[in-house]
Amino acid sequence: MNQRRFELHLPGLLKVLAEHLYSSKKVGVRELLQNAHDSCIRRRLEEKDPDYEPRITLSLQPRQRLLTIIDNGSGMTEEEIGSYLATIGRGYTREMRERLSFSSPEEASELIGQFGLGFLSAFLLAEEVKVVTRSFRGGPALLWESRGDENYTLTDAKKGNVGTTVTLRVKPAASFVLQKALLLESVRNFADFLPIPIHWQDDDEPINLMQAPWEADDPEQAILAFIQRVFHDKHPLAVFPLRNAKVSLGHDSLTVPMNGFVYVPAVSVASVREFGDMRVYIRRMFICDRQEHLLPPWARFVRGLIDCPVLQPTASREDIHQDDYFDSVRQALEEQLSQELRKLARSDPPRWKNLVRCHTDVILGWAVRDNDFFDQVKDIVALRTSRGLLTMPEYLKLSGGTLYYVTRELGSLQEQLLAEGRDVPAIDASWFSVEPFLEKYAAAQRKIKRVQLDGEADELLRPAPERPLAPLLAWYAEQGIAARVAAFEPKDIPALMIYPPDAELMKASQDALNKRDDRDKDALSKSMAPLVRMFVSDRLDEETHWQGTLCLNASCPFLKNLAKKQAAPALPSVLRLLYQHARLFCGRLMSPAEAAQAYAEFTRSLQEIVP
Amino acid sequence: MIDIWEWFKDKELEYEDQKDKARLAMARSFFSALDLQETNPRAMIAKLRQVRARAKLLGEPWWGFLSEVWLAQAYSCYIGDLREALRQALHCVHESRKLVLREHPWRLAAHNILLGCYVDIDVLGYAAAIRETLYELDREIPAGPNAHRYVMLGYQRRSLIEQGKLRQAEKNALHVLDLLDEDDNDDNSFYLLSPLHHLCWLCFKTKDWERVRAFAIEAEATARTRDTSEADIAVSQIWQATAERQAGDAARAKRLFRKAHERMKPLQAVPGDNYFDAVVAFHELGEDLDLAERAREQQLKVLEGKGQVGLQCDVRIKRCELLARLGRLARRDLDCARKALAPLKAPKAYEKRIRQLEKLMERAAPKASRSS
Repeated sequence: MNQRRFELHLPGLLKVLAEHLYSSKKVGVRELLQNAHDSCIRRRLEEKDPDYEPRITLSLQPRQRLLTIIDNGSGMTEEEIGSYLATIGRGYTREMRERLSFSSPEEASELIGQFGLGFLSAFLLAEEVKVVTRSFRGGPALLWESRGDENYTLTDAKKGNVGTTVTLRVKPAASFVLQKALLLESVRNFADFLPIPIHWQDDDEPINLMQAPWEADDPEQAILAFIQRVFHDKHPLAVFPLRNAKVSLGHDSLTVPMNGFVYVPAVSVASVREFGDMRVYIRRMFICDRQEHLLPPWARFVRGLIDCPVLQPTASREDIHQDDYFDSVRQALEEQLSQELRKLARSDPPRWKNLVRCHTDVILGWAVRDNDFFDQVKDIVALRTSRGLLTMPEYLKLSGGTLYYVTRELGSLQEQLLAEGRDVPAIDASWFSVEPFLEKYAAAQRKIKRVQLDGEADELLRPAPERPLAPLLAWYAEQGIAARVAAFEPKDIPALMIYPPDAELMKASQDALNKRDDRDKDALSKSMAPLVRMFVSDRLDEETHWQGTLCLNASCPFLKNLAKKQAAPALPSVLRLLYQHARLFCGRLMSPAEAAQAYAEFTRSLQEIVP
Repeated sequence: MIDIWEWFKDKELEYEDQKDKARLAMARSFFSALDLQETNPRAMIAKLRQVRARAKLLGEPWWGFLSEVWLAQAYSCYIGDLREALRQALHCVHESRKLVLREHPWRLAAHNILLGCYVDIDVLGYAAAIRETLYELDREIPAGPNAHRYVMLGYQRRSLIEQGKLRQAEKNALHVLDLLDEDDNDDNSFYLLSPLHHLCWLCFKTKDWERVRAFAIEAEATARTRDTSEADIAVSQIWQATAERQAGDAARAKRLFRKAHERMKPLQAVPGDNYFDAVVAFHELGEDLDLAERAREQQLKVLEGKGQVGLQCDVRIKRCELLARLGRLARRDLDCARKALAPLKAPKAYEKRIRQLEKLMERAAPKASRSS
């Protein structure tokens, strides 16, 4: 077999690496800063001068379209320029880290560079790059120049201090770096946590923070300030710092080194966000924002920041690989977050309650889906009820073991009123995940009964003798209005309109069958008519009052008194008023025309009473 | 007719191109809901409601309708609650009358689901309405291979089987296989499963063991091409186990059966009658009538309080038949079976089977007393 070597088309490869490896031109700033940073670290580690003060300086000459990055790091010899700067895929930093990883892992962890590709990103920003460098090891200062093609020149230069000056002639497409404010914003975004000061020209104050917020004297305040500045969340409900964590790998365990924090924002954005997200740093350098997969899927209400050296960046360092290390970090994050939430629920119930209130929908939705999470939160989540937020145990204590809930989006005031009348709060299950949560809760504890009040309001009425209100029932019967007597609270309610479950479907079906004419644009199709007819005829057989039943309240003193005044001339008007009022208050199954008609009769009755 | 899966793909790409995060999240929530159908149907329902709420917020009636139709499907197929399924399916049918949904690719799916509800609730009781609906649907659904036609033919086949018209049911199943052979849409291969499983059962009835095996192997291979067909794989394996048992390879039969059983364990979706029929067939063939009876008992538990009154009566009587073969049929079992007929519209066929069992019991009683 004849083995052959691949050929390399250098101009093409350079173009791909410089222009297409990175998705954003801003990354060019980060790579240049990182090279300067690693160079300073190298000098400190190799020169071992206790007085060495590393410094990176940025300056701009917008008219000449020049951006300059100066570091007083190690600089490069001619040999190093040939071996590293001008060799794609080979990086001094990586080799140095590999050398140090056994002898001095802490020092190794300070270095960031990995791939030997980063310098190419200078051509994302620039059409021409000049590097003037002088090595701490001695030798002449050198000038390296390139326009991003396969050639470069190397000549002697004048430079007094050790270090490197990189000057970019900025492309029109990267003009943002020529605006000081945007350049400084990029520096802060990428390099805030780097320990080496990055200065704007001769400014004394560095641009970057030089430390991560968790390293500040008052980490709690620093983290809150960071959240406010970067995440724009002013009042997080809870913040949990991250710490190194041991995760089980089954056969072994691994300590995941990590720093950072996770926090719960005050506002739920459940309708759009499908994930909790993390801002990712590796060795203090910003890598990516809104990483969706590091947090467990149930933690949709959580955001945060992680700095973790075991995460592996992609070659462009704009994202991270989802490898075994990623899974371990994810596991560690999940374990810490679960622990912290459980701890919060135990130690600070009012805060936990507030957190759950702000994110109930997301929490319930995930609890329905995940059995373990359900067990963790089922008795802690607080549901909206007619008496405010209540946990399930609190609710069941009040309701005597039955879950009374309403599902209608426009509210079910009548049913809630009835529930309250029985001294039972009603759960608002109008949002998507509440009803399945209640189903799951009831299924897990078999003794619990569920009653959907909008449809089964009968459950809240007590039977009562008809006789005291018989004259009123007789009058309604004469008018063809279905009425019955029941006792319910509050006593001040004289009558309510109760519809059977499926009343809306019955009405829609009956209307559709009556309309069945091919000329109607929304006519029922021929195939569905027999089935819809079956639905209607089955239910008509049930002797149910689909038009609703007026329930006269046997507990209402006014009604009892009214029944004794059969001779009162205003009686029919009052009874009509009660009927129409009950229909209108119930608010169900009325078209606008029917509501207008009911109001007309309501007003007519009032006029009869007070002409 | 627009293909629903093509429509999904187009929409997803469109939202990605437009960087429309809200709609993309809605579409992805919808797909993630479908992934839960076997493993956690309650969570599927919660997700679908979420999609419905989002669709409403975003003014997307087509997505809203899709989630409504899948809610009906979830209640019917994965929760097995026909009362809720019927309400939801009827609601969808009324929704589908709206002009904005006239061209919706799943308008006919809503119609099929309502038909399926009546087939599942009481196929004999609603026989006339089902027949009429099938006739009209046949005219409404575009001719040739398409998903709506396969589903409609599936309900027709179920109806034929319940009426004892097994030859016609087999003809129907083979016709669906022919139609699917002509179908260029790979997504539709899923619709092979129902006719293949019915054919397994029909061939079991005629003791055509080679065909049981062949159909079961084809069903398993088809099911394995999909992500959410664990139960279908299990049913296919049980039919293969049954064929192996008949062929005398008891060890392989047991192994296949055990694998199927393990596969079903983590699923939270209710097992369908095709699963229980396969399990009972396997046990009956091995003369393990106790186990067969226990499977029917388990099926009754699954069906309890879910509105499948016709199937409940049928299963109750089948259990009594097994008890009779075991010599353990008691009066109270028959009384229970008779009591269960109350909600049926056309109980005659079931009553006849109960009377036959009564006669059997009466004939067995003197023998028992003589032998004692």
